[in-house]
Parts: sequence; C-alpha cells; structure tokens
Amino acid sequence: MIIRKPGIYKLDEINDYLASPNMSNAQSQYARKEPVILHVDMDAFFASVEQKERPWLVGKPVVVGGDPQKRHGVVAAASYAAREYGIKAGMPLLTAKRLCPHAIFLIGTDGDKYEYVSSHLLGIFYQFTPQVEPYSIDEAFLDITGCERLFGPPAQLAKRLKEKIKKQLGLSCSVGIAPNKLLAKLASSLNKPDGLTLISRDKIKEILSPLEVTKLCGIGDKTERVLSSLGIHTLGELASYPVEVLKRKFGKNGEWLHLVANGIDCSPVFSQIMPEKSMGHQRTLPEDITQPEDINSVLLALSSMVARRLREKRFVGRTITLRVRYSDFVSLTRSETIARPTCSEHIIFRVAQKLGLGLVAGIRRVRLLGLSVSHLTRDRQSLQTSLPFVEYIDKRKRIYSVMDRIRDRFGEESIRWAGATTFV
Amino acid sequence: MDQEINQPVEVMVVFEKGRMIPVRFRWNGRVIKITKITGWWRANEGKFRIRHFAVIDHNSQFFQLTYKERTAEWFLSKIWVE
Repeated sequence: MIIRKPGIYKLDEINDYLASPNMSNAQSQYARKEPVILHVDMDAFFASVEQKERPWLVGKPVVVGGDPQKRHGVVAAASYAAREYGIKAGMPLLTAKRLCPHAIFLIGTDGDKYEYVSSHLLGIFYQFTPQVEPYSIDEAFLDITGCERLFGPPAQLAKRLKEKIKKQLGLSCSVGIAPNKLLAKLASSLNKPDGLTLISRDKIKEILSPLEVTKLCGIGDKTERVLSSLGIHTLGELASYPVEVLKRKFGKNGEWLHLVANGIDCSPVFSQIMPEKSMGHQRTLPEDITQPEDINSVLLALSSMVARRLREKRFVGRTITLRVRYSDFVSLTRSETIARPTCSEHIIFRVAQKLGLGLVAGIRRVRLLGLSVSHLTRDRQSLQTSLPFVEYIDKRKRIYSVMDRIRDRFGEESIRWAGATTFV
Repeated sequence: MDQEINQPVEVMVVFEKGRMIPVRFRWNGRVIKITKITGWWRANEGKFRIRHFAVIDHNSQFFQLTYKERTAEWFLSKIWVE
C-alpha cells in the first residue's frame, strides 16, 4: 500500500508503510538526526577586545575591571598572561594587583563597546544556523543539527565559524561540539584558548570519568563540598554512585547530578527570546548611606528607571520587590503585591518606600539598593486610565509620556524627577 | 594606561561604502594622521548615535575619538600614557 494523501488508515497499514523500503530511505535522509550542539566561548573576551584595540598589549598580563570609585572594584576579565599569576574574574582588583603588580589594569572601560562586539558575534552565529541561544555576553549555544549539507561535518563548520570570528572581529574563541548543551559547554572549556573540542557519544564516559565534579556547569563549590564528604571527587565516581543516596542528600538535584555525571542533558537550545518575567534595576552606591532622604532619593531614581522600562515594553506589574545589601554584604529582600498592575513610578516608589521602612530604617549602612517589578502582564489599561473622568491619573500619564519622549530623543539622563539621585 | 581627555577636536573624515572613517585630526595644534582603526562601536543617546573609534598613529600611539551625532561634534575621549 502506498500512502500518498491524508486519510484514515488502519494501524497495520501504517506500520507496513513505515517498514517499507521507501520509508526507510526517507527516514535515513530526513528523519530527525542526533542533535549536534556547539558551544562558543570567547577567550578572555573583555581583555581580548582591549588588546585588539591596543596591539602592544597582546601577550601581556591585562586586567579589565570595574571602577573602584563606583565600588565595582572587581576583575571583569583577565588575559591568559594575567591568569598565569592566579588572577580570575570576580576577584577584587586589590588582590589582582597584589598577585601581579606589573599587570596593565584597564579600569572602568566602556560597556557599550562589549555589547556592540557581542551583537556582531551574534550576527556571525546566525549566518550558520537560526537556532542560537545567547548564554551570556560572550557565550552562545548553536544547534547545528542537519547543517552538514550546507557547511560539511560539525568540526568543519566550527573551524569556519572560528575563522570568520577571527577575520571579522579579530578575536579568538573556543568551541565545543557535543550531542547536548551540557557536554558542548564542557568541551569548549577543555581546550582553551583558541580550542576546538569534539565529544562524540562513544567517548562521553571516557572523557567525563577522570574529570573533577566542578568541571560540569551547575556543580559549584557548595555541592562539591557535600560530594567530597561522600567520597566523590570525579565525575566517574559521581556517575556510579547510587542515585537513591544522592536523592536523599540533595533532594530533586540528586537525580540531576546522576544524569549530568553520565553526560545526559535534554535541555533544548532556546532560540526564541523568552518572555520577560520581571524587570528591575539595582545599583551599588558610591558610598554607604543611612539617611532616609538619601535612601528615598535612590529609590525614586530606581522606580523611575523600572517604570520607564515597563512602559517602553508595554508591560504593567503587580509585585514590587526591594533588595537591600548592607555594608557587611548581608542582603535582604521584601516584596508586596498590589491590587492593580502598574507602570507608574509614583506607585512603585510609594510601595518601595513602605518596604524600605522595615529594611533600611535602622542604623545599618546600605551599600546596594535594587528594585524590581514582577507578575507582569501586557498593558491593556491605557484606555481605561485615560478616560476623561480619571483626571488625576491622566495628568500623570501625560507627564510620563512627555518624559519618555524627552528621554527617547535626548537620552536617559536628560530628565529626572527632582529629588531623584543620578547614577552617572 | 588610559587617560581621559574629553576635549573637542577637529577631525577629517572619509565616507566610504556607507562607512565613516576618520583619517586625521587636530589636537593641541598638532595634526595627527591615523594609520589604523583598531576598534569601533556605537552607543545611543536617545534617538541619536554616539560613534567611538579606537585609532593609532604611525608611532602606535593610541587615541579614542568620539563623534556625537546630536551636536555633530568630535571629541578626543582618551589617550594612552605609559
């Protein structure tokens, strides 16, 4: 029987058709193939961008860091020459200076520059596949399943991708190729810098077994300590450990640990932009503050920034969350859910102020303040609130609208509420 | 290390294949010939663009030039000092 058009067929007929030589050939050519995932990780991204601009810095220990005057005094990226001295991202700049006093420190560099280079990078990825999941500013997963006809085998595609990045951006990257995201990310980290590593299905056990557990993405120092107390140090030991004991020790994560140690990961490459669940901003303050008026001034600025973003993306939200970090680095959060969703900075500010009373009314010095709005829905109330009898709300809406237009034209810092602090 | 300058400068520019390429600029009474553009990027200031160029001269001296579309002005933003 030949099935040529849609219709109702008996199960036996369908089975016969699937087993027919025609279908076998079709399956071998077009049926879903084993996934091939690429993980691209730029080598010492920020430092490499700076080295490309200043060619005499190539090969030297270069450290890119935040501005200590804004109390962002940590290492954002270190060149490979700097890493030889033990300098790592996230380390305080003072420690980095102690480890390598003769390193070249580039402080407070332009974040827009890295975002611009990153957007170019993304453009190069899309020349190979539409299935791209940006993982951070300098990392992405690419699903290249079925791209062989266009670009040849995965390793050849990866080589072309690396060459293109080198030619167009002057930067090197490390690429991992594997049947899933977990292993692709691991592969890219095994041979840095400028590496190309392939983990095929038959080599998974051989490659994973001797590696330390922290080599896998998602297993951090805390988990490592607990695993170590169980006598587990390598992924091979974790893979063969009874899953029931892991479940008792780690709960749901126990099963996940068992799976990842065996190289199993079913998470797809998310090429779609995920809908936003919350919007927020936080700022480390130039100096610790305690006075209520100073705190209110920061909260008003943050409320204005969050509300502006909500309006820009046409969202309203109901839950307002305040985050406070004190000078001793202890952080606390408080939330309140309001009856009607909003994108008004005045309402967000009022709630934040109320939440702040409980958190920042003491004598503790505040180092960081953050504000976010969640439980987002699309703004469908603009019509309702612009009815003529809601005069007060309408007046505010008009003010917001004018402020938004001024910011659209002249930039975010061009206008702000009196009493709101400036972060520039 | 980088040193912030942020001084207005006069820049001679070539437009080629839809791209704006600074070729020389005058700073402190001196004309500096750009031998290589080592980096470029842009940012937004409202609806206007700010274009940045990292350039070097024949002595491999580094400069960062910035063009603000809103006011049509060039600035020397940074230089490299040993």
